[in-house]
Amino acid sequence: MRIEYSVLICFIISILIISTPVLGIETSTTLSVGEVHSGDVGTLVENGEELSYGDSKYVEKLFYTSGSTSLIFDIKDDNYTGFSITPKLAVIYHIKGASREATIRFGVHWHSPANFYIKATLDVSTDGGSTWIRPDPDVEEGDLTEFQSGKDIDVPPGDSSVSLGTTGDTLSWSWDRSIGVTHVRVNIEYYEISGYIRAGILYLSQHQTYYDEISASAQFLIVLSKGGGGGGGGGGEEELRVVDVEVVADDQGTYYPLEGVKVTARWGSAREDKYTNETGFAHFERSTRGWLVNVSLYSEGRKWKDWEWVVDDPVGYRKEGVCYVDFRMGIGYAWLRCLYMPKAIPVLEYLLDGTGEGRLLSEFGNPIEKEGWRQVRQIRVYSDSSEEPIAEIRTDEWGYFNLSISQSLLENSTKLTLVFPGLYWRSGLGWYQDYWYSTGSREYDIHRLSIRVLDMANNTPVENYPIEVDGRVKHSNMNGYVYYYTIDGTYTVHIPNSRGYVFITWEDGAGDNPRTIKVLDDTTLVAYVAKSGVRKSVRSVEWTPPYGWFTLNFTEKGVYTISLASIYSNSTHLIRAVLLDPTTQNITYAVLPLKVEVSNSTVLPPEGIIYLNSTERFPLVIEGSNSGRLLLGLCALEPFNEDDLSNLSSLLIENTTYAIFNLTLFNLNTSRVYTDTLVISPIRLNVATRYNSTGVTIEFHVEYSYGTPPDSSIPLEDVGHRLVVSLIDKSSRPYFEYPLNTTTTVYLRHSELIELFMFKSIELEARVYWRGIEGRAILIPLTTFSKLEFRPLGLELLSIEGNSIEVEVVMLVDNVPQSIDVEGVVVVYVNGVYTPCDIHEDGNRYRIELPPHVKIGRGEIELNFIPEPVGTTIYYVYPMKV
Amino acid sequence: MRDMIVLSIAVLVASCIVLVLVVNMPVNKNPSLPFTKVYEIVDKLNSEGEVKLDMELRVRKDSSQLRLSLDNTVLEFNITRVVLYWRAPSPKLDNYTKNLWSPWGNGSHCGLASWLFIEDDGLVLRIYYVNTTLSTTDRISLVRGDTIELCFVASECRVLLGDIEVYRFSGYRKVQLIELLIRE
Repeated sequence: MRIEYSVLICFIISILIISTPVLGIETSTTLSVGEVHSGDVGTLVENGEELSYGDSKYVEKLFYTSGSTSLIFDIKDDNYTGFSITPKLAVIYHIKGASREATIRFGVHWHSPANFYIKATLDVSTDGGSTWIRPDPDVEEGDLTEFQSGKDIDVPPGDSSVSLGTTGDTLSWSWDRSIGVTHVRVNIEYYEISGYIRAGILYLSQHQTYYDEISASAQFLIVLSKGGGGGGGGGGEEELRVVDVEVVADDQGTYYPLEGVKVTARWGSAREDKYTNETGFAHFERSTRGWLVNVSLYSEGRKWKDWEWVVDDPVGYRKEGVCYVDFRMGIGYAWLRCLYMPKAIPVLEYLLDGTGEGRLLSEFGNPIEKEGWRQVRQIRVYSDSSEEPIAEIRTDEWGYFNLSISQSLLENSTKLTLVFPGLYWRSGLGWYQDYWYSTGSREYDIHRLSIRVLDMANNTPVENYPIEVDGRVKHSNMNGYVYYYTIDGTYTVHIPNSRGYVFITWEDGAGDNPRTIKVLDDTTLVAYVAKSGVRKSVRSVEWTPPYGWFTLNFTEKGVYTISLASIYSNSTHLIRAVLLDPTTQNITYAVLPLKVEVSNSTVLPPEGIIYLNSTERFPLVIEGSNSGRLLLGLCALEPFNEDDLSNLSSLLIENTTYAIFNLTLFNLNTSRVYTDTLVISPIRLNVATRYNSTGVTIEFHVEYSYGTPPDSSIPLEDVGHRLVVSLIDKSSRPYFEYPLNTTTTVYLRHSELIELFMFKSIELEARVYWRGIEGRAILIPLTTFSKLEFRPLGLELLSIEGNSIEVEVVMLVDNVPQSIDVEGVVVVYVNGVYTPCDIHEDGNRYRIELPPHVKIGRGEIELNFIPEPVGTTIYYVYPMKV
Repeated sequence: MRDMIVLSIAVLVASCIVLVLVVNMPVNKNPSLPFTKVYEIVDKLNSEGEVKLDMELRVRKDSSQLRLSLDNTVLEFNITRVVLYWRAPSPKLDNYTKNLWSPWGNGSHCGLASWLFIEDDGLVLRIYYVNTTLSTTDRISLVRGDTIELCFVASECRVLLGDIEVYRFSGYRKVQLIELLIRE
């Protein structure tokens, strides 16, 4: 190709490119004071950036406030050429007799691919916004000092981010309180901005003052400009302005909401009081521009969590409470946050006989050490038996401390209180008061842990027996006791072998030694020891429903002590020994322990049911008021005492194992100890159904409702008791009754049910009964009742066309056909022989295509509907023959 | 000629013999059972189920159709009606009285006609009709013959004999169509 042609082509292309119109952006140099056109300039959104608070420069003063506002003006899709914010921010502190210094920093960030120009100026007002002063750096105005004006900023093209606040272009000044600045106005002008601009204002002030009012309050006049909620600057109808006030505690940057703090909002002469909710917020909505929100930190005797708000106290003297208030504001909303400085709490983690350790933590559980600010702090210890501190201890720089006081100080005390008085240690200075954390305290209950040692053979105390708790050894007194003093906690108790004795068991049946226990109250443990030679035999776990038998297995003859210890129970004395007076044949109950004589090895009750005429096999009680009676067995509750059944409903809680005991049989003749675990649990009845063409099979299955108790895992066993399941109607009339093993299957023909119920919908309760002693038992319902509903079904003959029959499944309560939604299948018998047919199902309708040789109308064709099992509804189906 | 005379005499003698036989038939012996006797016989049959008469009744068997009419379908069954009658002046009668037997008359003859008898206990619907193989009888006693049994649910079912609706039900029924035979 010749070069002329190439040039000509390039020229033509250039002409085309140049002639393409460039999207113009209108510009304006006019600053529209007093308006924010958020709707026109795009979407105004909250800037999530947070400014930092709590720097060290604030620590020395009583009350600090800081405020910030930060806005993002997204104008990337907009051609609006300018905006201003005025008065963007006004902060008013009504503080009497005080002076302050304040700094306002203004920063603007933007991201733009285009050239632009920006100018920020700042005005202040001393008369509530009526007149404005623009301080000039060259002119002294009143007492204004150290003034820097706003300045024009020309950011070179291509800069994608410039921060005025961080490049030294800071508008800041300070003034004496006598000037009385009430409002600050920041004006922003910019030109040719595309993309978005983010403006932020940080207001910092610090002041030291002595308030003459009870409450410390921060007041903010929030002036919301036009166009709230993005509605544009056209001055339309006022919309709701929202103010949310959040009150939180700031524990090293983690905020904890404070509930119940009173917040007052005022506009004009009206006011509204609200209390912060559980998330720490109080919410206000008004269609007014001017707000005065007063976060009143009144205590009024209220408590939040376990500490008390203290800032509201008179502050004529220094208090430990510190409050920050900060806020964020947007068009149409404002958000204020009030911060609370938490207390420091001495947490005692362990104490045994006056020796303990702990750590100073914030009231929210956080370590109070902060990098670079580790300090030794003082903790004072008080007991309820003395007004003076019984000890003063110091923490290490991480807050850890050790406690060592005399045990005798605890013996007469029930409470121990540790107090952090706000004192810090600095070498050369000694103890001094400081306020990084508020003062705090915590009270601890003192528990007495009593441990007793008994000789198992004769149940007598063993004196001077060594006992260890967490390695601390004490010896039992003449009553077999030793005492330890603790707070809430976990301790390890050990009964060593000593003086020919060995540990046998704990009173509650536990056999672990050493044993770990959780002490939450005054606690007594009894350890059984015996001379060497005792053999232990751990046997089985036995289950029974309430009012059922436990099996007692005496494998060898001899004199036994029978003792029982509850290890998980909602009630003591749930298990009774059932005794028989051989003379009067009266049955009585006794609480264990018992001493009995067993003449031959025996199992109670024999074969699961007690026949009272075989009394020679029962052990004889040989001690106590029941001496001479025969032991029939152990029962859960009293199955022959009808009054005792009043507890039944509370015992039959589904999925709850009711009680667990350890049973100890100690044969004094052979020194053999047998331990069993006894579990009382309600049983649960499950009912399942399945159908065939002529009837329904109902499967009853019982099992123990085993909700695993804490810290135990017990193997579940089948329900081995002799049970009966009965279906009864509302008038307690039994319709069916069947013996029930773990699982019992019953087949009911539809024809039986038709004859029995005759088109009725019948609700029957399925109850499981337990029979106690043969001939003398009362029927005890063992389950919460399952209700079975028997409902009649039939096939409605809809049409016959040739050899095709259409039927619909209907319910037949009172023999009135009603539509019902039941899943199932239809099967066909011809002259009693199952005959496969094409069956088309459409909802509850079935069209059956019969074989051609079959003749309808002679009653030879039988159609049976077989329902799908549905919960506890049992259908009985009327047959169809045509 | 003589042959013609002999033949004529023979025909005459034969005619006389036939005439004597006809005149001596039993009907002619009891020709006058009145129409009012019909009600007596019907009542007795409907209440007691059998009756013995002094005279031989003629028997007529008519075919009929029993229909079970549902909303969208009809089940049809061939059944019989039986008329027992004799000669006597009577009004014209053949009405369904909800009983198995009803009075019958056509002007020159009268008697009784079988219809349907229906029993319904809410579960089983029994429909009785009469059938016979006899041509005359002087004793009316019924025995059970064939039975057809159907079971179904109907939102509404009409029982029709010819065009006459004799019963109506809804719901489930075990329908038994029972034939009653006049005992021979």
